[in-house]
Amino acid sequence: MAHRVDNEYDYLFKIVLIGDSGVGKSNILSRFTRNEFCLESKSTIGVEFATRTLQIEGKTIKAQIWDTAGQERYRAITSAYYRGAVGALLVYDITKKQTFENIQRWLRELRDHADSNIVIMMVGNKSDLNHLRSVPEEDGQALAEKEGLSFLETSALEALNVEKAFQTILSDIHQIISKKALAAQEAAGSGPPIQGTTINVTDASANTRRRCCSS
Amino acid sequence: MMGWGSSGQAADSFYQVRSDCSHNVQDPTGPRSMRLPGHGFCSKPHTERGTVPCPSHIPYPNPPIFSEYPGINNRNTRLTGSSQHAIKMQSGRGGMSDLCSPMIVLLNDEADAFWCFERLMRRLRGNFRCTQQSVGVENQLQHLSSIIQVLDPKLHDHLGTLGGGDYLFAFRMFMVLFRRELSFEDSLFLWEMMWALEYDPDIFSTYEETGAATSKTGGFKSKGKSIRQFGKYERENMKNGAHEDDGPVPISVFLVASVLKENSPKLLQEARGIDDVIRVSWMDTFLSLKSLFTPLVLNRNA
Repeated sequence: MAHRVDNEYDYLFKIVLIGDSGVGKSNILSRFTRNEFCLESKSTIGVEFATRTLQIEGKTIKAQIWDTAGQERYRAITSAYYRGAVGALLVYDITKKQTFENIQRWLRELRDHADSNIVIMMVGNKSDLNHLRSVPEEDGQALAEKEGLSFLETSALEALNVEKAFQTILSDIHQIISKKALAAQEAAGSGPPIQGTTINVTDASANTRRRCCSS
Repeated sequence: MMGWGSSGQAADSFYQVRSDCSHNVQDPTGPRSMRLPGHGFCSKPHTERGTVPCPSHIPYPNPPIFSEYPGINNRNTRLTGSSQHAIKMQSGRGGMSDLCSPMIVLLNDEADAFWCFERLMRRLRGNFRCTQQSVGVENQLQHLSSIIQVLDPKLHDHLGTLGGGDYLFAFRMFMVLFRRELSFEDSLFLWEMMWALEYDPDIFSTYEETGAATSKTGGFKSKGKSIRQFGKYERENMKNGAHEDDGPVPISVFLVASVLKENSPKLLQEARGIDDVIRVSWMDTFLSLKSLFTPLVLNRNA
């Protein structure tokens, strides 16, 4: 969903937030879109939506973010989540090893359901709980490099790196899109001129005029 | 414990009342007298939500949401149950606490609250049934989609262009009956109106049957012209034979459809994203709905 609309924004990007239940997806979203954090947030039911418009490289970009429930029971509707998504923020909890180990499964799901060009960013959330850490930052970094993803550790509670994570993924998407547009332009400009047949306009208009007057 | 491999097990396993429980409903020495310390609805910390199984016979997904209700925090309100009343619910089943919390807040007796919740879940359990192939409320989303397609094709197309063509924004509304869209009081107000239309006291006895109560009312004949004002929706359903196939369409589907239809011009003009759809359509309509009904309620109480 990378629409281009002239008036309010230049681009609309659909981003999905995925990851295990309880890793902090909803709070990352509320921190980014409303600058809020709730310690006692309820678990997400199905999917929730929020948008935020921001400027990237001189363009107005509207991010439409789908915050999905991490619970496995909603699996059946996941293909609807990924439809049209151009970016995915894949979140794990740095204090829970299991959520990090499940990253592979989420990647597999992305490969199965999402567009193959989707830009993925891996996010290790809850970096404020450093004393409870069970996933070293280097492990996250290594996995991200291996899978070719960008990576950041964030803290939705302390508002650390949340903005940066979204900025990074959005500008990555923007770069890809503008590169594609440029390539398309170049291809159109340097390609052989299209052969066309000449249409004789005067004959046709004379015909029409005559018929119009006679009726 | 939520595990990746566990979703194949069926749907029913997370909410199931054992059949031997139901006889205790009428038993005066039944549920009320059964309170085993330490076997209550657990109140595990939110941070461990969805990952730690409750150490009780009636595990409960989330602690009831009391924060919305000032003054309730200090009350010793913990639903208890015995091992005989085994409701199997895997932890992390977000949503059921939204349905349960009003019962706990409103009813002083926690056993009453439990049985109210149990009865509510008989009707709503289908919403929480999820397998790899289907999600409980999917049917309702499809019904909503076809209703809007007929009622207001323009709006249907507009929602489609916003990326909401599959009506997933209504998922949560159906799942927990608008508890998250409205305040605590407002949602109770709405529940009361919905239930007054949905439950017909004339066929009360059929609701007591185990299983999907609504599917068993087909053969029941309503006693001619009822003077009662309640159960209108239920009676219409029976007249139209809605129970014959896969059960009636819940009233909540029509509620969302009417809210969308009502706000169609505004939605077409203002909604620029799916989050707008929820914001634009829901709040204003409910407020007007409430102002319409409040005088009636006040008259009744006078």
